[in-house]
Amino acid sequence: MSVLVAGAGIVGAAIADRLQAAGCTVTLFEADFPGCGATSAGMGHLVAMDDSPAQLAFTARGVALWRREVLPGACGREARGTVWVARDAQELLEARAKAQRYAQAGVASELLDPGQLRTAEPALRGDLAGGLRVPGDQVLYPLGGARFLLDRALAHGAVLRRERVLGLEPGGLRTAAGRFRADAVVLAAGLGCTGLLPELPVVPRKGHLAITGRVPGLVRHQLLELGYLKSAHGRETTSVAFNIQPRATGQLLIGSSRQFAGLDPAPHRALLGHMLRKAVEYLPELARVPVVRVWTGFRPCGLGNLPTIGPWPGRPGLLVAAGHEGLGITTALATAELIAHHLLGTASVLDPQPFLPDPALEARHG
Amino acid sequence: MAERPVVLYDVAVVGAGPAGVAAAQAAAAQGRQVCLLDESFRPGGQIWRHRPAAAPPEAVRLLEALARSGAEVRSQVSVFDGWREDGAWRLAASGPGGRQDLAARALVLACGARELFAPFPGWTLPGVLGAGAGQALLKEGLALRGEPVLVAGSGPLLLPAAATARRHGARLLGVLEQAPWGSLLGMAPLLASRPGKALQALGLGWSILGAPYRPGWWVAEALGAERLEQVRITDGRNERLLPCRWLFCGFGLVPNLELARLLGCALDAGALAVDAAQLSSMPGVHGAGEVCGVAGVDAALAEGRIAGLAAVGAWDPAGPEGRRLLRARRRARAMGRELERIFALRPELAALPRPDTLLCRCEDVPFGAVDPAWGARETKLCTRAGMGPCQGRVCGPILARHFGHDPDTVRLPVKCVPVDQLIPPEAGSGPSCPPQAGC
Amino acid sequence: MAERCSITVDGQPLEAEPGASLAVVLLQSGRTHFRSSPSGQDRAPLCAMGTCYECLVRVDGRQVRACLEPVRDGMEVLTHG
Repeated sequence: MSVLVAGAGIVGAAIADRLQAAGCTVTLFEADFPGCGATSAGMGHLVAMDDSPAQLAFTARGVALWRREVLPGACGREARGTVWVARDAQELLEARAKAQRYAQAGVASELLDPGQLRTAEPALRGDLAGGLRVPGDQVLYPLGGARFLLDRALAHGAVLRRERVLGLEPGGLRTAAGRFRADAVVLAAGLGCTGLLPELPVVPRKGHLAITGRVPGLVRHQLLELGYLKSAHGRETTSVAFNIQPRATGQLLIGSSRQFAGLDPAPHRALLGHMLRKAVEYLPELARVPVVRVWTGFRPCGLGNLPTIGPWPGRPGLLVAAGHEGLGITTALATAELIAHHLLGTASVLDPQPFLPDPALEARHG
Repeated sequence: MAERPVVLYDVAVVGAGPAGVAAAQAAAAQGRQVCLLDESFRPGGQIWRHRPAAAPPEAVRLLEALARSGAEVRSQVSVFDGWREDGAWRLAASGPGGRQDLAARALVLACGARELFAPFPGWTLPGVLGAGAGQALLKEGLALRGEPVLVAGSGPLLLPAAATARRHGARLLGVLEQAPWGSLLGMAPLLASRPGKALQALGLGWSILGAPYRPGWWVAEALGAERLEQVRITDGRNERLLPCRWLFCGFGLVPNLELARLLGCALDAGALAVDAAQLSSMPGVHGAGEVCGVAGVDAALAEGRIAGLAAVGAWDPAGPEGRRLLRARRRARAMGRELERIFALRPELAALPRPDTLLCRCEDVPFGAVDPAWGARETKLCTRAGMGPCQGRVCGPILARHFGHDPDTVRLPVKCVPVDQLIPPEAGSGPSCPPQAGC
Repeated sequence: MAERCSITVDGQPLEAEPGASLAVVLLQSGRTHFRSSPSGQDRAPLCAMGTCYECLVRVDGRQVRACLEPVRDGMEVLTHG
């Protein structure tokens, strides 16, 4: 089967890799350089996220698939685990409920009392109520992971064309070089999707990140406040949440913020300040750690808390894999598994239903 | 986190080298509220980096005039952000007591320049420094007690560095100038029309007497186990191996454009673009000195004064002083352009790095890690080059020379700054009037 | 005779002139290992003007550029950081 994949970010690369390994002939199209969009802007936290049962199953599957991969050192993958931090008794109750949901989904976790939290993360402020440790979560340098998958796809015979896809057509697509025809087209172009398929709304959700100088050992796990999901879930608000990732270099990546602000890449000073203030509240020693760079990125945000993955109704041969918001890295391999299921009939651990495109729904919100 | 009320100045000057000091003095002497911000522990920049007792008379005079002018001088302060708000320019800086915010109706960017590094195998060994760097450390008291020092690279700064090394007790092995004799002959007409400079050059030549000055030679490799022990030098045909403990290598200067780019100022030929009144493309933002293109201390002094006067509306190009300053600027800039041509780096230098020679020192990225087909952003993301604390100041010009990369967009912070200082003060403390002088 | 003060470098006492450049004082004492690069190489000052960050050392717990740091009495300096 011949397949054209529009977009060589981590999702497109994972799909190309999966399909090429299964015997398809894959051609990938990338307008700039592979991973130049959200892939290279994000943190690379491989995390089981439970905003809904379907999301939890999806992210858990994503993490499990990454764990199986043998990755070269350049990918910066570390089996750090996540610690969700509870600031008060109320959040500790949420942590318990979370632990139960994780257990039902087969994700191991352990509740931490204040003493255990202090042992796990000595740099956190001392008056927290406890936490939830998820040892199976990992961190990854996203561009490294994407390049690994892309290189594997190319090594198996996939082809990468550095061209912008100008339009989708029945049975193929069109670039400045001409028309390309194939059995199937997979649209995995992140923010570029809506330009090619207007009925699929993907909007930029801006985030700030700051990377510090080297402070090895200050933080061991990826740290998230339990309120993170409120920030990720809410659609209208501008929000920040405590989110810190230690990297193999000893640097810390500080996030996270969310706002709908078009595509203006300039950092928003006040919002950045809120994000950093929150980080320092949880991790007081962070105050004196030097910041080397601040940047912004745009999460490709769909309508719900799940991306749209599957055949597009009314357009035979066209599949989409878009709108991953902040979960693109975690779920890239699980996305590829779903696409392979739709195209090749291979087994899918996940129920494909919740991800299917619903044009009526998209049109109402578009 | 200390919170000072935001003070509104007439002019904020960034950088206290000759240009910044001249600008601050000129503006403050007109009776205006001026703040001069600088990263070093005292004003003077790089060229006047002396312990106060040893400063040249020209510097002493101007620094005393600055002290009398009423300008507020803040040393050990790093400006890391700037933006426009409510009709004024805002700066955020990092100082010993924490974050400082200030507002000014006009800015003068006198950020100076830094050394250009042209890598060769072994350039990361301790003992290998910039030429200006070596000279600065000597002026600040480094005693080399007969240790062998080689000065190499390119440009007029090599001679003063060598002379300073000699004067401070080093055993000067020589000065290697990569430019060939033929190029250096171009200096003759320049010096002939500038007797002051000619005398200076003769004086420097005298002070390195006995040590060879070799045009057409350069350093091919620095060798040593944990620090510099030997250098391999060449003229492209012959090679020599010299025992050496200190290598001061300078290849010219690169303007410090980070703050200017963050503010949105237009550039021209790799420097800050300014008009006849030293005004940049951004309203109320002036530039002076090396940041506008490398042209030496005479240009810096003239332009600093023009910028300081222009920033407070006191610049009169038609008056006698104005005409004198314009003439001084013109001559200094012309000389700067000629020197750039004479001392252009030869292609053999670009061929010196091996695949394992480091390109980015902060992140240990070797030349071999960069795919020449990549653009600037792809290189940074795939290799981490430029992602360390120097924020690409050392490797950026190297990537530009070797791979043709245009510098990336600049984002805050322009200098590394502690997390808590990136948090703006609470909204509501709007700009207030500066304190009365003398309080 | 110039004023002297006492500092410690990696636990060892050192005499220096107050207000002198810490980079100069460290180099003068024969030290050429200010920091270790990511792959473990010894690094010492390169630019001496606060641009290159090769001279990073720890002073009283803070990470500073030695070339921009004036020596003070009682300063505790750690290299190899």
